[in-house]
Amino acid sequence: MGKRYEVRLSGEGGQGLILAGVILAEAAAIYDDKNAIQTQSYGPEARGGACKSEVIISEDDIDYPKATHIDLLLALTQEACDRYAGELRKEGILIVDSFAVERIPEDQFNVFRFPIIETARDEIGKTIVANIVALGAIVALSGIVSLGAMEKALMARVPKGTEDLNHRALIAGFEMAAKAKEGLEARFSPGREGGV
Amino acid sequence: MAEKAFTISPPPEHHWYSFVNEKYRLGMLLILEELSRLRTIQDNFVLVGGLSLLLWGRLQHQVLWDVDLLFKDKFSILKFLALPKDPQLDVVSLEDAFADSETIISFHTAWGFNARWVNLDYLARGNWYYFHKTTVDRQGDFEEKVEWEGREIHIKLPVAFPWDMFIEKSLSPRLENDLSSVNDLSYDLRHVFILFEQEKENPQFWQYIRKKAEEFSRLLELKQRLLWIFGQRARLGYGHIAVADSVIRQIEGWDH
Repeated sequence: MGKRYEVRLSGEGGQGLILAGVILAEAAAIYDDKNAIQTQSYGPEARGGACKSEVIISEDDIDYPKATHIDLLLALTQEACDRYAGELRKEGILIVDSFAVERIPEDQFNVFRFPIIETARDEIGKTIVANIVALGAIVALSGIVSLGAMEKALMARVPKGTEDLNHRALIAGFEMAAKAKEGLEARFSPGREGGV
Repeated sequence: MAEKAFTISPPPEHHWYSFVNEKYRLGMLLILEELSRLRTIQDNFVLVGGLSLLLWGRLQHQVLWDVDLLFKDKFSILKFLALPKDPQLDVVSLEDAFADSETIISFHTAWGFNARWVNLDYLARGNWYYFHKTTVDRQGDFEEKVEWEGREIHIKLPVAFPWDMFIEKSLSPRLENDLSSVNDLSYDLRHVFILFEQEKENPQFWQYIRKKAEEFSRLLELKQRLLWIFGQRARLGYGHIAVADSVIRQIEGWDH
């Protein structure tokens, strides 16, 4: 991966998307020895509670730190999906929460619907780890950082005693996405849709 | 400079910049040097946040550090933004406009020397600028000369002091949200517990934060927040940190 890869994490305040962006960038820069920058923007658009975090990852130097051509978009709310899907590049990856996002704009995306928030709440037992479930899905679908690097970056940030819970959240997201990806590979052309 | 009110612990065995990722180390040093130069032209900010704790040797772990500059108000930020910067430095605004909420004004940028980008955030938050500035004026700047590949990098900056950061982080609205949602990945909470572990046996620390919070008219709020944090620490992932009954009783006695 020489070229830059741009990830946008979007949803609403309180979903931990900025922290998720930070962990993704740290996995890439500190543990996978790539170049990365994480940026967050509130701006006037944030006044409705919207929130977005962007991460640019590259093996080469990053000559410009703002996302211009999104390769992967995570949308945890309908508003975020409506607002940002148009900036996703053709054949890019769109990951949405399958309960929070009902309408997907028609375009040439690879769409993945996962019960991210439900998994965090019901399977892991803590809604706040939806961001970590989403990170697992991003790793599985994009391969932009290794799972090992992501595990190290996550473990470096969690307090003693919560490692297992956070790790389970990461793996739950990873496995759900890996399964969906496996089922879809070699079956569809761009514009395909998958999920669980 | 007036006599110092308290003494910062000796620097750690590992120097602060060993906890800045190698790829970003020189860039961070050059940014701090540039800020030191700009500060001689316009002395209107205090460096706050996690990086301040790293510089004072209080944090010893590696993350992607960003630079948070705290100003008095939006006008002060605009004045600083207008200063001509080092021609070798690239500055990119990440937002089209200031984010202006009830509790904070912020403007996010990225600064880079040789395509090694570091986030630099401009902040203004009530009277927190004066909260930090009064201590920095009394204690003095963070100052250091670093030899790097044959050149000397001189850093001299107003950097928030760890005990003040303990108060600010404990009272931050962001931490309140983290506590409400039981967010064990909260970095404010992590910093609060790291500082608590370092200082919990130090009576000067407790005297200082009580006095400072009282002067700032936030003592009761700090009392409630610390009791909340310590009372909920097991749920928040910090059950392994011992909080003595004497500490709780002491905080409960803050009645002004």
